[in-house]
Amino acid sequence: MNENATSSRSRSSRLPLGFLSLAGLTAVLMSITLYAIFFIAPVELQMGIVQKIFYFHVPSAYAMYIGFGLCVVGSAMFLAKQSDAWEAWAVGGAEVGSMFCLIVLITGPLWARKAWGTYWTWDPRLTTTLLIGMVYIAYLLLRNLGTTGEAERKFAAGLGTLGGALMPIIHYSVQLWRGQHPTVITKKGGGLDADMGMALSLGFATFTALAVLLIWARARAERDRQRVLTLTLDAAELGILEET
Amino acid sequence: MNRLRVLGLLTLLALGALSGAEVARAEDPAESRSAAFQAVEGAQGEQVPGGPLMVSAYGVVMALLVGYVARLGLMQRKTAAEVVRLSAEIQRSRGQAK
Repeated sequence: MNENATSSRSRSSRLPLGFLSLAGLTAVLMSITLYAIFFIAPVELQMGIVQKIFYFHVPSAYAMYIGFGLCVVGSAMFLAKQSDAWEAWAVGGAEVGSMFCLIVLITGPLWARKAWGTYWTWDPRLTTTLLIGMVYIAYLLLRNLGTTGEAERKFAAGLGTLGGALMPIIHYSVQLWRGQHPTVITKKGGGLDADMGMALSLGFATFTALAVLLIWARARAERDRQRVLTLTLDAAELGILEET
Repeated sequence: MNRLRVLGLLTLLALGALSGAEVARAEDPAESRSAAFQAVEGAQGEQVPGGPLMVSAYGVVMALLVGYVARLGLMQRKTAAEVVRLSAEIQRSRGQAK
């Protein structure tokens, strides 16, 4: 009688080996990256120590693209195939992408206070980044606060798909329009010291692993939540829901 | 002869005046401004400490990451417990129905 309960418990609590390996790798990369940032990369000549925000700010933006990009793909696949698994990936991508977007929008202004003398300007890149954050927060609010009806899920998936159109606008805004946000990494390789470039590359690797890890964890949690909903419906059909 | 000299001097003066006007017209305020750099005294005196800003930025990043991981852990534990409970209830109910 309790075999299925036991198997449910063991499935939920047992983490895949790949997940654990990725978690370990992320922890190691984070340690190496922090060491490279504070002990290897030199202090920047004009901005001073505040420039070290750069090594988390830029990779966070990249991780934001990963999260929102996965939400776009997951939402489109959900609309095409009505698959709960793709929806779980979309939710995971949106939530993790929103968190990294928040990191970008906090670390950027802190750096800007020193570099530009102000926390915020309505620069094209800053404005479009804020806009995409608002779009995906709206997506999450719709998914979490609305009902679980098919119409709400499809509407949210549509929002998740269309929000991705902002990503190329954010990325190319510094080239398309005038603004204060710099373009450090260009086709010529960028204006970075070699040690700074190494620290930045490590940051990119760390945040890629971190983004994948967190999205994976969130998608697993969402799949479990979907299972709870299914079991709740089964319990309601059996008439035992009021007892639980 | 003197008349010629006077005429010549007047001509030179006129040419000089005209060329001066041309130069003045070429150096309109915008162009002269574009070649000049003026020191702003106020900004030079401003000191924005970068250390606290950097520490704040890294602190916020770590707090958000740790907080999110903790939230995921709590969510996973709660959901797993709910799955186990509902599965047990359903199995018990089906067992009783048989």
